[in-house]
Amino acid sequence: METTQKIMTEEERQAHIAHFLKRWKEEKHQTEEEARQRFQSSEGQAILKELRRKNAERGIIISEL
Amino acid sequence: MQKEELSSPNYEFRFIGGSKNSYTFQTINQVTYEIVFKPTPYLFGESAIFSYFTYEFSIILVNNPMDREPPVDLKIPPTIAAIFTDFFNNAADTVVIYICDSSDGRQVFRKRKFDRWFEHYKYSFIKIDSSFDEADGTHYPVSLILKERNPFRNEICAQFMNIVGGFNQNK
Repeated sequence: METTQKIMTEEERQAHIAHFLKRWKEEKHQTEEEARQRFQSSEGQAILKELRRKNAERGIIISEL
Repeated sequence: MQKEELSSPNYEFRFIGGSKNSYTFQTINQVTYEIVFKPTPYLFGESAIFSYFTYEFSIILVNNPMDREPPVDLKIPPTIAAIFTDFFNNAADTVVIYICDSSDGRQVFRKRKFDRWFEHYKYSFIKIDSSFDEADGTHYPVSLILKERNPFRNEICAQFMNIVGGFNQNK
């Protein structure tokens, strides 16, 4: 596999950044939505319950919603 | 960052995994966060060998039951640092890019906050700061973070400089 690339021109650089940011914005929204759905799921709530228990063992009391 | 922030014990966290390598934790104010390391091979192009170790790091506020912004919480920075370290411990060749979201105009605030965390928890990491600028003038501060001993360190730095056209390096 390659570990080097040719030096990009200014136009190539701008195009690469534009492509990167476009994909980043699309995936960012999807990632946030997945996280919120996970929070609302029974599995997500079970994870948080377990974390509250572990925190409580260390004296960090997080009350339930 | 205040000294007590450094000594504050972190919250318990859990690695959820999945395709985006998610971690989660909850604060004393019942605010829930996910820390995500999303594979981002398209940063360097998929022909670069280290592309498969390149991830975008993001902090997602998943749920805030308060009717206002969460207050300063001294346990959050060490929690994020512990998660960061955990992820790198499992994959030492990891390269992380952090992009400060500019959609609400608070990118400079996010950058400063991230820099403060990094300054105190950098250990053996190196960070390269730069920015991505859109044609409409929107400015996104970005940081690339990798282990000092990453075997592709020089190639990664050179390729990142190629993409952004120059950088500032902090260690």
